[in-house]
Amino acid sequence: MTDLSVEKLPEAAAPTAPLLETKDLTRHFRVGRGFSAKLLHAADDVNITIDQQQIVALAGESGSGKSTIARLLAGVYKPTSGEIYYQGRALSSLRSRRDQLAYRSDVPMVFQDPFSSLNPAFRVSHGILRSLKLHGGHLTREQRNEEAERVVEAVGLSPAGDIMHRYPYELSGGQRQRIGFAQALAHKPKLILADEPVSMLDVSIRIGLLNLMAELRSSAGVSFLYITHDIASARYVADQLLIMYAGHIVESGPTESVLANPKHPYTDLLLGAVPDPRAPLTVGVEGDTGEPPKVIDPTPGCRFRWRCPLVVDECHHITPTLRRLGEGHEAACHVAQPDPGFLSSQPTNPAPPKKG
Amino acid sequence: MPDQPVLEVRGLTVAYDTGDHPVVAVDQVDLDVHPGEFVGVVGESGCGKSTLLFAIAQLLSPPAAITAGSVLFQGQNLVAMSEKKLAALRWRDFSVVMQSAMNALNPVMSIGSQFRDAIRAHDEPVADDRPAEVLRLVGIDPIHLKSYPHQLSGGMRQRAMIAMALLFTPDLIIMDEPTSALDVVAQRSLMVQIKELQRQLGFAVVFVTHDMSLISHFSDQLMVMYAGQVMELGATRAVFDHPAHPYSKGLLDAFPSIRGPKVPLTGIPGSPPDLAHPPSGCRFHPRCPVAFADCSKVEPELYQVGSVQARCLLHAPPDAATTATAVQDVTS
Repeated sequence: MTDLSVEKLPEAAAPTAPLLETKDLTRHFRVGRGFSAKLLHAADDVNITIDQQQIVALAGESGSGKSTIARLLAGVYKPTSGEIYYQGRALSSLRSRRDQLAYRSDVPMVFQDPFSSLNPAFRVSHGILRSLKLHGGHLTREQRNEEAERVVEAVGLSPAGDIMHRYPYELSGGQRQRIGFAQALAHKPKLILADEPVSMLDVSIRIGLLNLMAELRSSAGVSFLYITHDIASARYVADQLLIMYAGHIVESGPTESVLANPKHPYTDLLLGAVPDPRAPLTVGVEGDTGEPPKVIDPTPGCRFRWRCPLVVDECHHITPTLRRLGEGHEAACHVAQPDPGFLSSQPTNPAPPKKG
Repeated sequence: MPDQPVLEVRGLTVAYDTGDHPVVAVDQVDLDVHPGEFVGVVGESGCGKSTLLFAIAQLLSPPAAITAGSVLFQGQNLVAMSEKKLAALRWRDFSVVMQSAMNALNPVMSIGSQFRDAIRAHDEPVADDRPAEVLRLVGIDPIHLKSYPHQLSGGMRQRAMIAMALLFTPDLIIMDEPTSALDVVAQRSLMVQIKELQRQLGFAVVFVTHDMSLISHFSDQLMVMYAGQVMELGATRAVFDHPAHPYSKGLLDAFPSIRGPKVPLTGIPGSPPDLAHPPSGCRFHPRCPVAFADCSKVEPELYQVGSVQARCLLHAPPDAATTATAVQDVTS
């Protein structure tokens, strides 16, 4: 948190402001009632920066808070605290319906399950045309139809006219997910929030959608927040990689740098879980059966400490914050060492070396 | 007799009776599973993998039916067996783990009472603490016998399903994509667990998945299915190192690697064929990157290629290909 806030521009809409930025974004949920009411910390102090035409991957296990982030950015949830800046403007300052609609048309979402995210009772053109009607009020009916055909072609479905008149059940999973992307593309978005867009699809089809994301980035200039639990696919498309665990971003940096030189033990764990048939056989070495904890009324300390192989005394008392350990590469871990030769410009670690 | 296969599938064919065009979802599949062996079955959605499993376990319901072939389990033909005899055999000698544990477990019954249900359905004497024991085997605290499915995480539910399948220590467990609803970390730990249990208890596993990378380190034999047919069959390592069929190679090249140079991938363009109207010749030829003229005319058989079998004309013995063409010419 510390060094980030120093470097980032204040909220004044400078021309160099990133496309989207979050500052200490936090969301808690109340669980239970009355005296047993507790707070579930789904996301705590999350700082994300997404630039123009950038694909940022947010990776972590189920229950780590990835989808909460996507919903916060989509405006489905209101943040408990913290702020989201879109092109330098705070989202909480968007009061009028017009501003909110404009934001939502700039930042649409693609959902995980293409089988339940399309209405089975309508043709696939329905969703695309509806959002065009909502966000493109100035378009005539013909223009809307043309526009819809354009986006359907853009996601690699042709002939567009034929596809648009089909019902979802007439399309395969991969085709449906492409329709999901077409809906998001319909009103010329700046940033698409893709929440596990390929995890429900067959492996042989996934790569096509990842390629589609990369292509839309270069052809339509869209940025992506790509949420996934599959680090290998993140590596394939993403420029920046954020690793999330139990509501915290625990590591962030350029994808290659994070994967080649993981600083956080959790990143190591995620990397080790990726099946790689090209790698030599390594069965039975690890036996991690842990799961991310539900963070309810947390006490200070690293949230990964129960599963961490490198745990030290400090981890039980002090919550680690993100420290800069390499070029653009940060990790929230007491044990992680900076790159050799890399000296952080300022004393970033607020934690005293030992407590008590 | 350690060499006697626990499961022998011969010429198994399953058709969905849809009126004019019966859809052949599984086409003359042969498969041997030896005791303690881990056999992976891979292919895209709609290739007949799940239908094959259901046919082996005799769980097909109309309009699907076995139209030919046999399933010998411990020497007995399951296809010809009566429902009553099957019921006694199921769960005791072979069990099935379904894809979605959330749907396979009863949401209004505790895990423990579902275990007791399964025990009560068989005459087999079972120790009272067996449910607790199997839960412990899969790494779940037996306290969860009192839990309901919704109180467990996705990974734990799948483990509970596997625990349930282990109640009578069967000789064969059939698994239909048990990990597909899990994230990579849970997936990995479940696979390691299955493999470990297999080492301890010695049961055989038939494991269906669409993710070839997942089983690369776990299975002994690999069967690649496409459009209801076996495309390639052989030792897992051999198939991975030198895929003989272009489809296997396509599946293998479909996922990005975490290491090594970043290369653009294409996956396999197109989608599996409509089985009511399968393509002529080789069923994979419309999507095959190396298809040649004969592929659309000649139906390939499973040819021996080194240690594996592959259904691809590239590997056809020279004379066989010509005779097949000749036969084709005569009939057309």
